[in-house]
Amino acid sequence: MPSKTRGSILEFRPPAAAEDPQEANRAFIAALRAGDPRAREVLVERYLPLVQRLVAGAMGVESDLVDVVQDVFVAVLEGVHKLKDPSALQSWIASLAVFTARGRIRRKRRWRWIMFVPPESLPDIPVRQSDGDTRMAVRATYRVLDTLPTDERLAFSMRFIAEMELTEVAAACRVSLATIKRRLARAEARFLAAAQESPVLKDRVDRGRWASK
Amino acid sequence: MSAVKELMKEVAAAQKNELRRIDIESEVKHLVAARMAEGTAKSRVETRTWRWVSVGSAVAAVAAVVFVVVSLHRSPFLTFTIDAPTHFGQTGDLLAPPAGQAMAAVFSDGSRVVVGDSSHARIDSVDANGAAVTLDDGHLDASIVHRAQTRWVVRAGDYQIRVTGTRFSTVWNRRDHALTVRLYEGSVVVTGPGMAASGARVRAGHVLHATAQGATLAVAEPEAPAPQVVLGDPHAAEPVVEPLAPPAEASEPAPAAPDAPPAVTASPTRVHRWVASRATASARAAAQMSPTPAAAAHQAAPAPSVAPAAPAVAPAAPAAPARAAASLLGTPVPMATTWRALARRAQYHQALTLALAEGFDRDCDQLRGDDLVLLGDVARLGGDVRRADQAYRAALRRFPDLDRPAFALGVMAFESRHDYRDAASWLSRYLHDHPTGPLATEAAGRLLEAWDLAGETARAREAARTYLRDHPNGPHKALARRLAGP
Repeated sequence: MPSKTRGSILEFRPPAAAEDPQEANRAFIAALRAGDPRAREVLVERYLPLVQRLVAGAMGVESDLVDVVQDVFVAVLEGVHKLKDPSALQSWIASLAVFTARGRIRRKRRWRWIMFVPPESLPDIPVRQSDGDTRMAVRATYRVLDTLPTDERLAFSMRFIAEMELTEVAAACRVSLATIKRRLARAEARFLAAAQESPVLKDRVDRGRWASK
Repeated sequence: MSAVKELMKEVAAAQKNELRRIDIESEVKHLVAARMAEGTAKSRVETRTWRWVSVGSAVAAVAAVVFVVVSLHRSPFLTFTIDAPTHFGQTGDLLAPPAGQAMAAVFSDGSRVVVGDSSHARIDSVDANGAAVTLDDGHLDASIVHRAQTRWVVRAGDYQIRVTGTRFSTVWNRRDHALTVRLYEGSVVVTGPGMAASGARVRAGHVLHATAQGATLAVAEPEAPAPQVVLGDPHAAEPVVEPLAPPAEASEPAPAAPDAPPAVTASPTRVHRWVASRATASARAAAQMSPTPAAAAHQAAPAPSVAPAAPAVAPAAPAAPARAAASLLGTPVPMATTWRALARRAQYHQALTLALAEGFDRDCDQLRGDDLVLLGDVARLGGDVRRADQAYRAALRRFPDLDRPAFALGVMAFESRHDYRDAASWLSRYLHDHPTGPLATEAAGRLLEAWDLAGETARAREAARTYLRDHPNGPHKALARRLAGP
């Protein structure tokens, strides 16, 4: 008789549309906990767009996007045993993505200082398909974001680049709604001030409500 | 809607476009599976556990950094990176590349260790004079820089390869406990089963094959094109076989296994045949290793057929470990991974590491134009501006008709060094040399950006007006209108 673990590995299949979503989610998590390779693939297929969007929003489409994204999925697989509420899987993954990106941003900042690597020697954000103005704007935006404190930067980029709802940002950052609103307000103010110093962004931010604050 | 919100929407839209353009799903699946399979995930958890300890050591580390800088940038210990110039490794790190890929550890003294497809190795320890690397299974290429106190060890099972500065390739078949060591430069001393206690010195151009039953040493492949022994061909040209220096027991016929190695003084053809038959499994792993770019240049060409009754002439590639290992079989084997293949999959860091390991400088002198530009792209996107500059300049020097190098040098000056005057100079050169080139619109747009950012208002205005005249609907039209003025 096969062991329980082995049974779940063998029996897992992606849930059919007609199945009870909660039940399917429980089965899915059970398969992940059992180390089912097919479940692992489904995990990546299902949540890659979310993770990619959040990581790219936080860091830009950088050359190490794949590294960070795979770190998120490894963290999910490592931590899935601790997940108590199967219905919270998506928000938990979002939270892991935000925290993994935060770790990477902080590590980069540390190394940048320790290794005396000038920022300009780091790979640029390869947004090659957009037109010249947009490309410059994207690059300048992330340069400005680089000057923000990490938590504020994350709140700002999750809200405005990854286009998450406020409540989603709060959940992903594991802080209250009020805290995230305060962070956003501070981040907006800092972004505006720093953008004024950017020749590319200055013209843009001189217009609109933020300029009048 | 506020201007900043508009800007963020624009950024978000550009990012969505970019994410749609790249497809990383299969790569992520593969990497995640590999890491879970190798237990890397577990070690990462353990690493996290030690994070607080690391934080406690941070002050000491900073002091060490200051000391290092003050001490004429001399590191008391070697450091190394794995796969990416900014990914610093630590002792215990696994080198276990995903299928079809190679993985390289590049050390601060310039030494490199490259592990092939389906192979596992580990950096056991690192000190000021070298490192200890364990090859658990498969194929490893090493290029060790010789210094006064260099002391490297590669372990494979019960074998030890002691190195003081050399370039060699090793295949270890864990299942058969069979070791093959091929030397390209310098010499190494190998100790372990089947050899005398003092071990065997293997010199450049020789291949050692060792099992518990004994060891054989043969001249593997001449430095210049020369006939190569074909399996099963009794009339094939016989390469010189140099007996293993000391081990008397190794020169005795091995009684145990029916396919045991012949005595070291046996016919070299038989030596090769034996190595081939015993090493088939391990050499298969070796054969998956990427070739040198020179070998890769031949990759597209069909493999030369090997007539069973006639000696085959294989193009000598002494600097191509994979080909050398494959040549143990006497048959060219198609290689699975090249830096080009990695570049095609947008794995620029890995591609660059591999290209560096295989000889970047030589490639700059030998590759054909398109490949040389691709090499520059790999270096640029892999984050090594200096190497990218080297490759593009070589391409421009050797292939003056190519338009890409000047453009790429302009882009690099613009984006990586933010030297806008230099960028403008390269872009102007591009437009002068290739006024109707495929990148003329982009070069003209970049040119006006560059002059603008360099603070050269008059030149920016002139470039903007030229742009609006030549490319009225180009992507830089908005910026050009703004700069052109009334």
